[in-house]
Amino acid sequence: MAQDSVFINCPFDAEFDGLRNAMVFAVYDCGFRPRCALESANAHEYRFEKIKKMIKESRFGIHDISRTELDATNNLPRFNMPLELGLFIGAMSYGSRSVKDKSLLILDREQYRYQKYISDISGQDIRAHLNCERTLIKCVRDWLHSECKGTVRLPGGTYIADRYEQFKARLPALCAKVRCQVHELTFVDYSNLASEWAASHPLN
Amino acid sequence: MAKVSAKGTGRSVKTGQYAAHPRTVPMRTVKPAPSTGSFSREEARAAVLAVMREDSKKAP
Repeated sequence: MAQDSVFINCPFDAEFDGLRNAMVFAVYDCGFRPRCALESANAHEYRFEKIKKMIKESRFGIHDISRTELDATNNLPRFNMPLELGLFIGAMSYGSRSVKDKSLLILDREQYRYQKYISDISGQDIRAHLNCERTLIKCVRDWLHSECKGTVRLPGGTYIADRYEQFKARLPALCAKVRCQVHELTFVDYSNLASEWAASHPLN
Repeated sequence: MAKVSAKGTGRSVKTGQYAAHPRTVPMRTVKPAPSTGSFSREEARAAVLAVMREDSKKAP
């Protein structure tokens, strides 16, 4: 199991792009490696199998359940995120010794909203990002910092959020250099640019 | 500047010298992204450096 891998469980729709991009950037800028089902385009591998493999391989997990809500068309709840959260908690509980040693962060858009639909997760580390990219970055940074247990120094959440704003402002120019549009970036493409930008811009 | 002791930190009782490089917790290291995207890591790095160069030219 990779000690620096962070499994990211969040919506993949365009409406969530901003929060997901902020999350991926924050994970890289804290010195960790985000993993997501979107990173592999291998159609022969079922998505759920990919997710199980990534959970097994990742020491950490960020689970954003803020879009657990009724679908406007079907009037049914979107439950992929809680399902993957349950899988992660199951791995922590029943996995082999090498797989059990995990830590997770649960994010929602309001602090106690989860109590109305998934109250059994009370007692886990649940934080509210208020649909705000800067708040989400601070949540991710503070959690990863506590997980580092003093072995590595991280800049503060506001500092990383400022760096993310700088990166976001230069993203169209970066995309132009690699001959694509911002909306065309895949998860891996975005990760590549975020990782290289963070590595090339030393912390002051 | 940190002081040198027999264990490497603090002031040495014997020499009273100060450490030139105090032991500190290292800063985080950014990890590379997967190499399976539409462009390579090298291309991504070149793009970042090119934009940095352009920005530095614009700076007053």
